[in-house]
Amino acid sequence: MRFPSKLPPKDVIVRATDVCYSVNGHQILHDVSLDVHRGEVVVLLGPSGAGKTTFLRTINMLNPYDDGTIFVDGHLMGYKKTRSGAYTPDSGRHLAEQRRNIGFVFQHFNLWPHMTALENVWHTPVRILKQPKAQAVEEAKQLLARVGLADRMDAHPNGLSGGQQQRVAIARALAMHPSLMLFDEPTSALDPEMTLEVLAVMKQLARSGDTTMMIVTHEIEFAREVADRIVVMADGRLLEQGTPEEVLDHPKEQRTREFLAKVL
Amino acid sequence: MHFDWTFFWDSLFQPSNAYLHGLMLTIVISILAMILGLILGLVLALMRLSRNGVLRFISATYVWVLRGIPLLVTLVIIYLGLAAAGIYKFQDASVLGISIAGSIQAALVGLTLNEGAYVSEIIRSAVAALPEGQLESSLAMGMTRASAMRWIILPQAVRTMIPPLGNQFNQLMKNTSLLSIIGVSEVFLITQSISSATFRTFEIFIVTGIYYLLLTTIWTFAQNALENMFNRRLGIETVSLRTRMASMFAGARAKLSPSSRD
Repeated sequence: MRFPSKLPPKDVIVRATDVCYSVNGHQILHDVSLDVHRGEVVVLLGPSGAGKTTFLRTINMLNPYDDGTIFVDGHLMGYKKTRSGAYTPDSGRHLAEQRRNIGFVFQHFNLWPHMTALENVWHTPVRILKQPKAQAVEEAKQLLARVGLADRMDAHPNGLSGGQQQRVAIARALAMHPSLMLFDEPTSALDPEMTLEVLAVMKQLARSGDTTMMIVTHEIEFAREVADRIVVMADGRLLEQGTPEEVLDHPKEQRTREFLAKVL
Repeated sequence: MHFDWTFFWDSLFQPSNAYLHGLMLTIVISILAMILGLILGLVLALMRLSRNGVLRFISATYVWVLRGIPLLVTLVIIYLGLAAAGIYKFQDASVLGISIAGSIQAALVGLTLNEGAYVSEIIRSAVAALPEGQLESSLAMGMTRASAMRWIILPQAVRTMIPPLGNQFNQLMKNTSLLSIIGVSEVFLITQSISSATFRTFEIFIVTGIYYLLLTTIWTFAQNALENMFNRRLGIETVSLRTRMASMFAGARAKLSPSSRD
């Protein structure tokens, strides 16, 4: 693997360079390169099977990429820098520490059912980061209040609606104070009413401006509203990118036009 | 047919000291072997689930061998076989002032080795039954695989494990009767000696059957309480043994006489 000699600039929080990924000999990502700037909200659009989710998952190494490099906040994901400055692969503790800086929100929430909503949120800060419990619990309560669940804190996930579970999952990710939040089709498993409550939380987060967000979604109007930049993918490649107006109203690529014609 | 009721009731309600001692030994050995088997089983399961191929191979081979050999054969190899070959002879030893016969030590080793193999399979399949998303969300939050196991995977898998582990313990209590073959004076061996001294074989073995039934029944209640405890922790509604049995019998009744349903 070739490593770039220079680190990305400080304000580039994600720099993906020529990322390739295959499963069972079937190549899903072809040389995907993308820079995301600090505080930016980037929405990934494209037809099913375009590799949007796969790309999102390579960023925090849930999919270990085969080729290319991904820097997040100045760190090469999945590699450790030795004293001499060379990179060596590390998929254990070091990768775990890198991931603490990246929040991930799943399509199917993946809350931990043996804990209450509140415990889901304070668990990792207390058990893994060893933060003082009283302080972490207090912060967890504030986060749950922020996503509108102040009165459901002691419920277990199976006592919550899908929309409520997804909001807990967002609070859980925020509790780690990540510099980057990744959302993988966060509303695809929800009915329309619940979709709105989750999107409202995400809009609020996007407007606060201090969280960098990358969102895979099929909600075009939501994308228009929150995105600083829309990236369109198809067949495992980046197709085109630009502001919501450029991409949604004046798409350059024929494939983008076909895709938008289907979903708009 | 002659059934000596006096002998039967006496044996049931006023068992001799030797009999009570045998019963006690059965209970203590069962509990100790289960605890040790749980520890061994957990180690084997973690080896089997690890990313290290050598550990996985060792664990899988162990389970394959120990599950494929009858417990009785394992026990005889460990106690009589090792001694006959001059490899190791279990000697009576004193632990914390209690003298433990060599045969009991061998029994504990044999039961633990056997139990560990079964327990590890139960743990492994309970972990495998969890949705992949549970591990993924733990990793995404920045846990190592070990932390995810400790905090997220095993606590959930425990709920799935309890019914099969409970059955395993039930089996184990009954399997201790095999220990008579290596001369552990547990309740089965005591029963045999009473039987040959009195020729009241039918009566005394019925008494012993009742005692085994009593032990396994008490355990059924304990297991139900344990399951409910874990259900509450998961926010699942608990089911009392009575309703569980009632629904079981209701189902059976419905099957037997569909016309009498009201």
